[in-house]
This record gives sequence, structure tokens and C-alpha cells, in this order.
Amino acid sequence: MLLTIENILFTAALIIYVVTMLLYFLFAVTKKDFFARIALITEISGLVLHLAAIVIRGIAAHRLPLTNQYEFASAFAFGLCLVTLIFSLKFKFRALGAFAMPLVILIIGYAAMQSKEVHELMPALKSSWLGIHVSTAIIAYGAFGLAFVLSIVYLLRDKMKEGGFLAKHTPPKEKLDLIAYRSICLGMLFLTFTMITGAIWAEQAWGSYWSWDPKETWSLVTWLIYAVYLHFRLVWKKKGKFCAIFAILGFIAVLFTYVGVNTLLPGVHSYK
Amino acid sequence: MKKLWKFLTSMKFAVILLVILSLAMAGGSFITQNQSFEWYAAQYSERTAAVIFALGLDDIFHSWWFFALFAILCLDLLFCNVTKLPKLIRRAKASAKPKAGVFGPFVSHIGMLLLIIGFVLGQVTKEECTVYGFKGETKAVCDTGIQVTIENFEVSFNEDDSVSQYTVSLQASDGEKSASGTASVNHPVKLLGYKFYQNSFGYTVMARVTKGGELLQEGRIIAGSGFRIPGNDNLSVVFNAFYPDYIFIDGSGPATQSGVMRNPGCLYTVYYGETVLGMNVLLSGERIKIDDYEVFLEDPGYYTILQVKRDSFVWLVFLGGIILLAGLFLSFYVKPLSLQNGEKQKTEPKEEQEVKENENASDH
Repeated sequence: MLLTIENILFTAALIIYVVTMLLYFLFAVTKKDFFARIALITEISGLVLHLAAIVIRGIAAHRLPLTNQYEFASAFAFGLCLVTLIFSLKFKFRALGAFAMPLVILIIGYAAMQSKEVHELMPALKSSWLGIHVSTAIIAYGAFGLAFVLSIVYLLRDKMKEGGFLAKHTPPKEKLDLIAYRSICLGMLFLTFTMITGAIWAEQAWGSYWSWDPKETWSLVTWLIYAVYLHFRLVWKKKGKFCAIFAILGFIAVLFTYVGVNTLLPGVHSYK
Repeated sequence: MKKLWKFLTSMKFAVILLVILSLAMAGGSFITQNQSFEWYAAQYSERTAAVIFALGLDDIFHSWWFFALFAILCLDLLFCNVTKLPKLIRRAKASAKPKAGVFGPFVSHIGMLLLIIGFVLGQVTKEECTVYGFKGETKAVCDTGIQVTIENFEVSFNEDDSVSQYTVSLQASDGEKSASGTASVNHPVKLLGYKFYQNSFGYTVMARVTKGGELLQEGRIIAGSGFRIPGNDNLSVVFNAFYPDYIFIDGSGPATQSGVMRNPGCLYTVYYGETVLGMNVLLSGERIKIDDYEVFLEDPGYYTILQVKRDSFVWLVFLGGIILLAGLFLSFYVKPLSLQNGEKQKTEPKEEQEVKENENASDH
């Protein structure tokens, strides 16, 4: 019963996200405030429905709904959408949704394709660290996802002539660059937090806080890529195209850590 | 020489090290680690296998060069950050409040350094031991002088037959002191300075050999082990595998439907010397008949696999982690570093630019 409600809410959220994306497109093209205002309302209502779906699933399963591929992908999409909303309000960049929503829909679409069955947790996953470890990971992934999207827009704008369509409908390149950077700062803080809480948990569950398991190794590789990005940015004052390429590279590492490691490499994180 | 020294202690060199380390780690996750020469030779080629062994690529994360890279990185981290400290203090004095953000990068790097030092010290000094045993057994914990008794070991199940928890009750003694406690997955117990982790489990049965109704031999054995028939050294029995909820699947062979002991089955092989005489699954109530001998595999149970560990530097790793986190927070949020004012800074001397936060960054 509860799972049926969850399913309806999840599907509703997915549809509303698609509508939000279309509204943001209309806003980007027509520049009419009206569309942006409605899009903001649908974006928030999509987030509320999505959150309700996640909470109801948690109630139905009697545990945090952050344990399998479906649950994590759904939460990842939620995190990305939430970070996008916060950044678009904070930086007064309303068209941000037009670029971020396709990625949100891609991730929630990936979630929709996963098995939604509720299984009992294996003993190693029964820990209060699970919630904090995974929810910080979602914020980190969401923030890196946003930086990735902004960097792609940056590069597209960089390629096109000034005065072209994209230039007319997106904020100045400098602003894209800055928001991407601030997004990576947020991601870096939360990724560090994710890795530390993961280490504490691993110490309790496996008796080893770091065992060079592929998921651990790749999260460290991801961390190092963004660390190098920050050094280039803050020490050598690199920005623009160079940083955009780095941010894209970083997010590819994020995706590999998230999907690639589970499917391509064996290890202790290979929970189905 | 001076130029070389300058390069080796520069931030540029540190970042190059980070890139090399990332590539090594990424590579290490793709090459299956800790395999034999033959394994790599079969997987790739003999020449590649030789290269893998020469460079320690079969165990990258414990190789001398990986360790050396980390050591150099630490020295660089220390040098780059300590030499900058007086400059940071001067800058903090000159800048407006909040001043703490100025020290963000310094704090995060020191945290990183402590974390790496704690990790390396832990790797070098930690004691680790794996102990397995049945309920009632007393075992030595490697060469620690500690004896541990497994007073109880229980496996509990969920409604869907999946495992809910493994719980072991332990009593440890070093001759003088003794302590007892319970460990389960995610809840290790500390006894006599060592942490005991409920790590894994396996199956055990009571093996009994009789001849004409007379008991010749009796003892617990674990899946994967075997024994000789007393009085006939050529005959031996190996207990290959255990199926708690046995089912035979056509086309694939023996399997278990769940972890619950509903229909226990033991896969066994009987040998005469090296020759296999027979292989079958023994269900409860059945016996193996070899000549005049009868072999029983009864009273199935679990044995626990415990991980025993003492790492005196875990606290340093986590302290480093917390300091690192605090440093990142200071850097990004107490006084946001940004590049909006990059044009102005180009006129400053190069060194002054390093880790310089932007005064006008507060407008976002």
C-alpha cells in the first residue's frame, strides 16, 4: 500500500521535473518572467513530492531509503535538484534549471529503471552511519553534477559567437564560471565529509577504515581531481575553459565511482 | 641545485605528485591486485607479468614507490605550509574580520598531513590477526599471548530468510587479566586492548567414523577440510561444502535455497590415495559407507571468523580528517576564496598570489 503511494509520488515527481525543464526552456527562449515563476513553483512542488516519496519508502521499509541502486539514484536526483534550486536562488540565476534539469531527469530516469523491491539489509549495512554517509554523498554528487552542467554551458558559450542564441539566453561566462567553482567548493566539503564518515563506518563494520577497495580508491581519485582543480584555481588563478574541462573530468570520475565501480570492478561496496 | 630544491619544495611539484598518485590509484583499481605471476601471465602475457612484478603493480597500494610518493608529498605539504605561516599571520593581521578564513588552506593541509601520518604509522605498527572457532572453543590470538574463548555464536534471520545479524560472545584472557563481551557486525568489542570484529562465518559438522558399531574417531571439522580414516591411511574423506537448505538444481548441481538450516546437506568426496572413489551429498540421517567403515557428518553448526586488531593511530587519522574538514569549511565559507578580482592580483608579486583569498568575494 505505502509502496504504491511511493510509486505514484515518484512518477509524479518525475513528470513534474520534465514539465519544469520545459518551462525553463521556454523562459530561456522567450525571456518571459512568467515562465520562470511557474517553473520555480513546479520545481519546488516536484522536490516536495520527491521527498515525500523518499520518506514514505523509508516508512514502508522501516529503515533509511538510501541503500540500493534505485534508492541512491533517486536521492542523487533529489540532491542535484535541491542544490540547483538553492544555487539558482542564491546567485539569482533563474535559467539554471534549464541546464540542470536534463541531468536530474537522466538520473531519476536511471532510478526508475532499477528494481524497486524492498529487501532486508545485510548486517554490514545496519548502521547509524549509513544515513549520514549516504546523504552527504548525495549533496556532494549533486554539487559536482551542477558544476558539470555549468561547465558544459560555459564551453558551449565559449565556442559560439557572442550575440548568438546561447549567449543571449545564458548569464555571462564569468558568472557560469563562478557558480561552477562555488558548487565544487560545496561538493568538496561534502565529499570529504562522506569519505570521513565512510571511514568511521568501515572501521566499525570491517575493522579497517581504509582498505583500498575500488569504491574507496575511486572516491579518493575524484577527491584528488577536484583538489588539483582547486589548486589551479586558487594558487595559479586559472579559470574559464581550463577549469570547465577539469570540472567535467571530475564529474566523469564521480560517475565512475558511482556506477562504474559497482558494475565493472569487484569490491566490498558491490551491494546490489 | 638551488633551482632543483626550489622545484622540489614548490606547490607545482606537490600538484604533480597528486596527479601521479591519482593515476597510480586508478590503475591499481583496474589491475587485479595480489595475484601470482602465473595468474598475470595467463591474463596478459609473460612479459607484461614481469613488468607488473618489477614495478610492484601486483600490490600497488603497498609498493615502495607508492609509499615514497606519499612520503615526498608529506614533506612537500609540510614545507609549503609551514613556510607560508608567517605570511598568513601578517595577512590575517591586516585583513578585516573574520580572520579565521585566512588560515583555512593552512588548517586543511595540516589536517591532511596528520591523516596521512596517522595512516602510515597505523600501517607500520598495527597488529592484525584472524581467529576462527566453534562455540566452546578456546583459541590463541596469534602471538599476542591472549586466549579467546567463543562462549556463544548465533546467527539470526529475517522473515525473508536473509541473515539479520551474527553475534558472538567472547571471553579473552592473557593469563593475568580477563575480560568478556559481545561483538556483532558493526559493533566490535574491545577486550584487553584489542578490538574484536565479528567478520564472517562458516559451517562446521561433527565427523564420526565407526567400524562395526564401534566408535573410531570423532571431531568437529569445517567445510573445506578433510580427515583420514583411522586404521586405513589410504582412505580419506573431504567435507567440501555445506548447504543449509539443500536443493539439487538440474543442469547446475547442488545449491542452497537460503541460509536457514532447513535441509542441511554436506558435499563430500571419498579418496583412495589420490583417486576419487565417490562424491555425493549427505543429507541428515544418512551415512557414508566405505568397506566396513561408516562415516557420519552430523550436528551442523556455524563457526565464527573474528578479526582482531590493534591500531594505536586511528585517532590521529580521524583527528586529521576533522581538522581537514574544518580547514575546508574555513577556506570556502568563512571567507570565500574566489577569482572575481583576478585582474587586480596579476600585478602582485607571484608568491604573494599564492593562497590569497579575494577581499571582494562577499558579493555572492
